[in-house]
Amino acid sequence: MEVTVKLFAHLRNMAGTDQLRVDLDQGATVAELLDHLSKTIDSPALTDNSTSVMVDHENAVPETTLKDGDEVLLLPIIGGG
Amino acid sequence: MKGGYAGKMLFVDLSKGKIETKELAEETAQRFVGTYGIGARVLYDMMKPGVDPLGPEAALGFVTGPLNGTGALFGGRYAVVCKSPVTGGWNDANAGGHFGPELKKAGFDAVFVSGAADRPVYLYIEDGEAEIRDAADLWGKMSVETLEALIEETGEKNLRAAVIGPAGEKQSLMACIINDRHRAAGRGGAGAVMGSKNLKAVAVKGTGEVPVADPEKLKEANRMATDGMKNGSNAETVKGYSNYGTGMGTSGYALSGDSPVKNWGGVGVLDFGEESARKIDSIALDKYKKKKYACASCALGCGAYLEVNEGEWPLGVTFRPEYETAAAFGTMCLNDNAASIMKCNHICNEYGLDTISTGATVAWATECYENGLISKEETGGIELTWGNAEAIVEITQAIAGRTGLGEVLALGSARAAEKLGKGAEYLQTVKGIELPMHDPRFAPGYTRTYQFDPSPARHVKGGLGGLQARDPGPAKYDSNDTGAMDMMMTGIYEVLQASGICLFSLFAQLDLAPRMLEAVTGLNCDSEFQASATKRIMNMRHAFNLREGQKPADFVAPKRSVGDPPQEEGPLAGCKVDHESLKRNFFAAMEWDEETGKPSRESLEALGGLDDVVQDLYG
Repeated sequence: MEVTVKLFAHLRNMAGTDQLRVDLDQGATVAELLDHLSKTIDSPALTDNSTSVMVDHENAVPETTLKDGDEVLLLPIIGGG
Repeated sequence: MKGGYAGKMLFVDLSKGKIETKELAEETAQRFVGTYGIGARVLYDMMKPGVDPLGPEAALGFVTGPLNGTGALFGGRYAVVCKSPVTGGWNDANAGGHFGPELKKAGFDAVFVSGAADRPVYLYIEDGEAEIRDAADLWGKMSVETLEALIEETGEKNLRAAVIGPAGEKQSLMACIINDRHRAAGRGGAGAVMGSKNLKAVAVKGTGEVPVADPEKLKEANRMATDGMKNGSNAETVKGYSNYGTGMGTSGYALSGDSPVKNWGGVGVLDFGEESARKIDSIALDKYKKKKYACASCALGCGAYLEVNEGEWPLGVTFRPEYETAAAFGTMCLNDNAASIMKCNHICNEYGLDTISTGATVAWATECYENGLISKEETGGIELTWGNAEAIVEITQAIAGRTGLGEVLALGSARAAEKLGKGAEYLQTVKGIELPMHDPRFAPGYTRTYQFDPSPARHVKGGLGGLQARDPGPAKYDSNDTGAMDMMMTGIYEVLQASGICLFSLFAQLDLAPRMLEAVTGLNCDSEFQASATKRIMNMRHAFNLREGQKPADFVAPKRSVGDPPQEEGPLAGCKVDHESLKRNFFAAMEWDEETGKPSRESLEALGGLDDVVQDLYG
């Protein structure tokens, strides 16, 4: 299945793009998506639990199951400002 | 004192034209550290309760921290302290730039101004000397123009000055104090207090050296800070902030629920959307970047000069809006026009207005307009609808110039609602001051900080919010047993800010401030010292409010901000903030009575340095 991942703040900078399409196994979870991304994007924001994840406009947790066509927003929360 | 302090404070009575230098007692420095800690101690002594914050009996302080001017990285922040004309209680606001370190190098830890001049004046300080000078030619000038005129008049090209713009002169209750062209001690109406004294500027030239107790230890702390920034867990954030500033997070915050939307009544991901969020992100403004800006001794440099010579609002050289500004004029107003946000930011910097309160007041007025409470006739023809960028700029200009509806909006949303006799149901204020731009429904701990820091409605006062914002899990909504952690996270900020360094030092290392403080002052700044200093400074500021007759029940969190009722859609759907538990736990940790707010006599006596507070509270 394919999901669209939208990247913000320093995740976008590290990836060099604001949007990715990612192929995952059917029934993959948010945690598996983050693990997959961390192999190509060198950012602790994918692994240190500091990033808000939204799937189709709803909050998601690592255990949230993804489905084909989902739009996943990865929103690093930095603090400050 | 071994290091970190000039050992002198300047007291200026503008009514009498009298300038006096007093010693900063070593015991006071050790107990209250600096900036608003020392500021609260001195203002409590100088002021009587019940005085008009805009009257001559009120005092205004510019107070440095012991790390200012020492070469300690991030050590560029000072505090402005006064009684707030908005809340009627304690007010501290801090700013970066170079003013604080310059004041220390000029030989003073602080300047306290009382009375009021009978004509516009400015205070000129140079290497241990001070004089009151005529400012007739400066009155009416914008903040940048004022600094440039002062540089020309004094011939000192590196002059540093804290100034007010026309908003402060006209005593807008949202007026701030600007130093170094664009660094703002923004909140609580300190600019109006300065204006009420006919004080246009405090200009400083300092060439002295600030003593450091253990220079090698300070070098080691600086090395640790540099290493933390480059290689620590926040290295990416540091790099991002260095490139794009605090606005780098704007789009993410707007969609995650961290930013308030539509005067706290909207849902970012639904009402604003991804495309709009990305438009107001500072990454989108990078094409305008002319050069970077860093405060004194800062290795991060989160500021930037922009140059905008195109579009509807060509500004020439201007300054990059911070996140709070982008949210206040952006998501809060459903405005995705980045050019208009830069314009509003520019107006606020020039006139000397707090961008948080001004943007939030525009959002409040917009909701009133949309619901028919404010008419088009009252706005002078401005169609103040959600997302109308032109209208947002026009009304901001009216607030700055105090024309039309701007005359009353310049008092802030709460006072405007009172004057107009309508719109109170849409206010998002605590004790009359507008909430900042991080939503407690996203990170519940912000509520306690917004309600019960003695300077209410601040995003820079620690507590659990900043920690919870980085925690996507649901556990953060469990507010049982939060007291100890809330105290700890408040203490880190309290000691850090009293030291005179920037909150972004936390990106380098959590305990950088006490390490640097120890190196600079030679004091033992262990955890016991930090815990005592935190409670002492917090109680000193809190006592100022208690003496004014303020009670915990006066500090009410706006219902929308605590999910009463909860949102029905979006990432914060169903989220409620247990603000009662957060309060109860924090008050217990601080040993404050829940009804009266009074700290226990025993806790005050144990802290020391608060004998007069004990006397005032307990007789």
